[in-house]
Amino acid sequence: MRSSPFPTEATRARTAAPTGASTGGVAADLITLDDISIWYGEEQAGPVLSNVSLSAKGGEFICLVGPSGCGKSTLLKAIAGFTPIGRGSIRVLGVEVTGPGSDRGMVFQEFALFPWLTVEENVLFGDKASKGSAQERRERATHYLDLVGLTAYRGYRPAQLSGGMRQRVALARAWANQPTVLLMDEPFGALDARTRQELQETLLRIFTEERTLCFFVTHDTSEAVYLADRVIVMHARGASRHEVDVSLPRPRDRHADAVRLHVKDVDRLAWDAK
Amino acid sequence: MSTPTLSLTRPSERSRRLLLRALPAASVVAVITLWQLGGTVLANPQVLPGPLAAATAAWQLMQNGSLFADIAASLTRVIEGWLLALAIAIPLGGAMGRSEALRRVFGTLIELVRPIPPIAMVPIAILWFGIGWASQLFIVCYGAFFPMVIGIYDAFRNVDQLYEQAARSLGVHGVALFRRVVVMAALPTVISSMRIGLGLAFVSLVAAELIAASTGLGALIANSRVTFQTDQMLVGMITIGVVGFVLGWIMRRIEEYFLKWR
Repeated sequence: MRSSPFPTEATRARTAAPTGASTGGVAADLITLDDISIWYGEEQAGPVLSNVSLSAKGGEFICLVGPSGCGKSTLLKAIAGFTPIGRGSIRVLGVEVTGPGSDRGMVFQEFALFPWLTVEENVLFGDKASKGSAQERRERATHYLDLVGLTAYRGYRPAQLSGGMRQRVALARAWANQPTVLLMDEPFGALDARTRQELQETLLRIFTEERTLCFFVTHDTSEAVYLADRVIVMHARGASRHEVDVSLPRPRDRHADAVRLHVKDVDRLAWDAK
Repeated sequence: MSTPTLSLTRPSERSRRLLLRALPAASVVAVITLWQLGGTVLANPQVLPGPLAAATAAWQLMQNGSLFADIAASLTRVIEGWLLALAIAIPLGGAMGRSEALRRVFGTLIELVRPIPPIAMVPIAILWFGIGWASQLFIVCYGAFFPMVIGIYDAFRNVDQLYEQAARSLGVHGVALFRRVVVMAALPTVISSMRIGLGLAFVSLVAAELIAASTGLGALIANSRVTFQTDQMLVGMITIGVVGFVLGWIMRRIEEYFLKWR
């Protein structure tokens, strides 16, 4: 196991404790993961995620990267409440997570739009998004569709839209419900390179405006560095984790040296380190 | 060809399409022609009356109103039995689709009874319910029930988990989740099961009427056989085909209306 990552001038990389000690409940933390482990099936088979501790504050953009099977998606699903936690606890604003809830919005790789509803009806689907008078709802839909550039398509059905447009609707739907934390599981993984870059820019535009805490799972390290304030590199079912802080101003230039240096760092941690 | 028009399909392509669209009508006309030829060659109206003889018989049955009475009687039975089957199949199939325990309780039972065809149930239906309305209702309901309960159960079991996860993450749970997501996602398969069920209700009804009824299209066939009125028998058969065709067409339009988002 790596004793330390490669600290460079561009990054302040640090190694997270391999066997997670509790980070403690700092008042400003929106979410705290306290030494969680997760098993699928038999306990003897070993955990799919072991001893992960993590905390995040409002307005942070956190990317989880790592090789397949490192547990990054499992971690996200645990926060979402889809996967039961074997040991430890996850708290959002001090409330323990026991299942899915609208405080944790979710954006899926497969978009998961409701095909029987229009774009506008999808955006207003959530419990908070659907509140208010017809006027308020319409204004809310307009606001979030504006953010993703799809106001003209409010009456369309998902089947009439391209993949990139569908994921824009999914972003608007998640944000319109005002989650405390937004979870995104490789949301742009199914899109072509050009659409992916457009969506990344849209995502950052909404993030800059709304400042919602974001967790974003990806296996694309340059995507992670382009988006995140903090990149968490996971290995071996979360038993080993490294963090790379990306404190570069946005919008970032994908080709700037500083960005490329960060990507190099994250790549080294993700693919070389064990 | 005086006006030059810009067309993306070549003339040969267009005429090929036209020809394809004319084929269903052409095949029906061809069969009627063959039927007329066969009738003429055989020259035995008790075995095979020609289309003209059948049309004359149909006209007579329409004149005295009995054909419409038979259609109405058959349709009423079909709709009644189908609705009854639906009233059982929707809650049972839906519950089985959502509950592993119910699936295990009813799954094997359904698969064991399902292979018994409606016609095989006619004798016992007569023993239990007598000759008449109740027996016919039972047979129609029985014929429509199994394909519908299995289709509806499949529809509810195969609702994409992703839709449910997305809804829960948007704060929609319980009854609202069921109504706004599960039912909507299951609807396409539920409606096509209903269409298949209606078709089978109609088929079972005729079986029931052949044996035990005084009115209805099946009864028309059965009674015409006894009185050697083969022309009327053919009218009964053809009417069943036409009514079934129209029912299927209506159900497909309803399906399209409800599922226009696909």
